[in-house]
Amino acid sequence: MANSASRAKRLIRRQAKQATLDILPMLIGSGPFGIIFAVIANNAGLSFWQSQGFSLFVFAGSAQFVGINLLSAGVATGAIWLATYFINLRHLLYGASLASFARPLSQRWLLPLSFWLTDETFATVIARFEKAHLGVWAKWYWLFASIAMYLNWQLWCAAGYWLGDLLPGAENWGLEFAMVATFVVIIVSQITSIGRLIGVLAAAVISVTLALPYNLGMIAAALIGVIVGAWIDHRQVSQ
Amino acid sequence: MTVSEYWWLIAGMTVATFVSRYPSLWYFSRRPAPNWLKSLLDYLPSATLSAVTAPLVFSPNLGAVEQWPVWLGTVSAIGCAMRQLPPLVSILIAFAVYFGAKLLM
Repeated sequence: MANSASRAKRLIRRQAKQATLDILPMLIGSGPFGIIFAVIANNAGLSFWQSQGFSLFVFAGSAQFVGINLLSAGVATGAIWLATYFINLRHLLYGASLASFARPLSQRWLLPLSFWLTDETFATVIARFEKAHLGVWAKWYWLFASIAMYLNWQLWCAAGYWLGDLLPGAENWGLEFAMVATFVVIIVSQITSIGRLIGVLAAAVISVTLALPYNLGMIAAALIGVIVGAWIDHRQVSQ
Repeated sequence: MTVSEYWWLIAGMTVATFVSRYPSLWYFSRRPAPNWLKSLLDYLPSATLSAVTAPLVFSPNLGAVEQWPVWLGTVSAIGCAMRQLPPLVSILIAFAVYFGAKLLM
């Protein structure tokens, strides 16, 4: 009994190590994004805890950016809530992908994993789930990746607020390119078939050209990319 | 904006974010996705991340950022990833190319 408990502990620790290692590029890549958010919040006149409140409770990079911009523009609170929901709708897609690998999940697991779900954790965790069958350890891996991303985001945003005092204008340095580079690398590594390649290209073209409010064009682009990709691979197989 | 207005805003944004994340996780953690959906989900990660990233590369409203350095950096990121360099190395190279191009322009 004691033996199996210590074996479980060892396996959980292994997931923690692997998850932290895998998500490391995201921790670094999202750094500039967090810094810029807090610099903008600082320049908008928010106190440290008001700025950090966004990161601690909302914890959604792009929604935080839109929120702070709408707030500075004097947009009504209800409209900011709605915008937040629409911008984050893509998480519905992420949840569908991830949950099927980590079933079953109790409420105890669902609540924190939902709260901590981001683009970065999704990209990292789904890459590992596709590579290896983790079974009952999948949720642990997912949890540790989420925690690492959450703590990391808090640190970068706190540092950014402080930097905003020292270096006004840091948001114009173009640091957000780090996030672009990180996602591009992840996307390329996921292209394992001609269908996925065409799906990626279709999604990119459509999300750039289809201008709908609140990122809805982006969600449509993702769905069309999925359908096009699946259709092309399916056709190839049946030929 | 008063302090209570601020926390009201944060509370609503927190709820809005959570209800965008929770339902599908809850739903698909209870029952397996049907096969047709599973075969579609296979294409979802790459297509969604592409739809999230492309506007950052091509949108003209990145403000002060010139487009050419972004494109050069993106192309080098693609090149490095295709050569299967470690992710962190690829990202650093792309970032260096981007900043190099920015300084030269």
